[in-house]
Amino acid sequence: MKCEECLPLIEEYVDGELEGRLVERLDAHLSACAACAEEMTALRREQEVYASYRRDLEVTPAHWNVVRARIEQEKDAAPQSGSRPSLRERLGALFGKGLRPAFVAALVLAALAVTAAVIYLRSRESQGGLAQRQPARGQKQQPAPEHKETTPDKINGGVESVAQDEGHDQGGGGERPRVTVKDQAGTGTARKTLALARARRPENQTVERATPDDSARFEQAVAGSAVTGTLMNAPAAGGEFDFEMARHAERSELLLRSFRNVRPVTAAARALDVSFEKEQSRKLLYRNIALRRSAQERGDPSAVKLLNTLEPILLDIANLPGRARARDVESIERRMEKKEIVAALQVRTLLASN
Amino acid sequence: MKRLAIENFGRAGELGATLMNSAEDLIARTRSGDTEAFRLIFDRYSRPIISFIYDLTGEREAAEELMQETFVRAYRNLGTLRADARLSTWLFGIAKNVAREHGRARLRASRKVELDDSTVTELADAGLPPDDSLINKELNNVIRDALSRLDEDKRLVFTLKIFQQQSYEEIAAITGFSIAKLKTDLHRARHEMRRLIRPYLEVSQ
Repeated sequence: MKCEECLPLIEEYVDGELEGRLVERLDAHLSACAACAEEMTALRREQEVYASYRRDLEVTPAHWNVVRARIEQEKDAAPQSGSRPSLRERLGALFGKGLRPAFVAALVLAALAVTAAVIYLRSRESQGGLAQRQPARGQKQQPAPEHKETTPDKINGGVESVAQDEGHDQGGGGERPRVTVKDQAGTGTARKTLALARARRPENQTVERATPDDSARFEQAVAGSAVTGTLMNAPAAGGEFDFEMARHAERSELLLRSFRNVRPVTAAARALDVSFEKEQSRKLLYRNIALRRSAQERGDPSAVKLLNTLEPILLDIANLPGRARARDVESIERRMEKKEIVAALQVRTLLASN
Repeated sequence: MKRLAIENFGRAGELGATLMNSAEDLIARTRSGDTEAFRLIFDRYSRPIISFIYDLTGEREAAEELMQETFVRAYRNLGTLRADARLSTWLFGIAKNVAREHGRARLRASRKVELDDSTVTELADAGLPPDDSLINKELNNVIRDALSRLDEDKRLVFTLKIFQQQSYEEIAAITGFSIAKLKTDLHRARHEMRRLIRPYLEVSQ
């Protein structure tokens, strides 16, 4: 390979994008050509400078809260997403979109008036039967055993209307005539089934949305004993390097273990699929450069040594072709073994987690 | 109980499958209405996304808002994510669009933030290395200013490659550029950036 052929490929090489025989040819040229080797060193030095770029940006729980609020808002606005539609939306579906609140209020008032009239007429027709179920005016209501909000209007074998749960749509105050209308009109078995399900459900159980307690438990589970999880709650300033270092060590260790376990798909296959390991190595390589620089600035010789040992291995894996030759993979594995890099990474991870 | 892919993290040889499954798992759970699964996606990707947007826009407050907008749009459109697409690539694609829309809106409002060229020009043309004690502090400013001087395509490609470590293939998927174009843009962006940060490169050796 000549210099003019080598130079355009150096960037791809440093990026871990070069594949196949070109890597071998480039390696051979770089070992013989001081000018091209210097070019590559300069490019890597640049990468180190870029890797040290700090933006002082922070993602806080407040950011998530805004996202969550907007998501919940959209979920509420979209009935198909699982949340129950509001009365206004249900009426809107019946009468077309774009109902104004005033129109909805008028509809509700009309429904209340009709309901009151029906109750009045029926109470006159069947004074005796209804009197058994309905307490006298002014008499204190007896709470039903299965639900706190059960009303005296409950007349369908213990089934109450779910509309009570959505009082924000209604302005009925203490009156519940609409309950009777809905039940008597048989507005849907599904609604009654849901009401039954709600009545049987323990009061503290939520169905559609996680409570803050759920969130806390979830995060706790994620954190677990793994260093990676702990990082989610990592302090911003003092211990950040140690956390980042531990996370990098853990990821690198897992990657190298994964790489060590790469086996041919069939006994006859000569090429090994290392595309995943290659991809991960490329990403860890950049992190490695940034951390090594930070370690040097902090005067942490053990971290510098570890990262210096790790870096060429990551680079070699990153520059493997997606389907690598077995002998190339074995060569890197032998170097890993010789350097005892997996054990060193494991020690670093364990020290950080204790 | 919610299954967490991260629990399997320590099992050797399964890293690839675990990482891939975890993303799929989180996507599936989010699609079924599990907001906490989406929170995990947010926790995982919000930092690279906000950095990416900040590098494109150069505005801190806007970056925060646009990052949030990115995740709201991602949630809204998660159903359109193809099974073979990578979540990170898809998110970067949304973030790119959000940042571009912001840039256009800013132009329309004729409130384009003029870049402070003086610092960069001065540093680049002077050719004198700055005081060592200021390097780390000023280097960030110089890189940011140098980034802002790149044209939009070059800045996009440079940021995705150098800061977000996306592969050429992923950058092509995010930007819609051909591999040849993005290689050319990246090479030119590197060249321009090198010229602007040269004094610091010499000092940091």
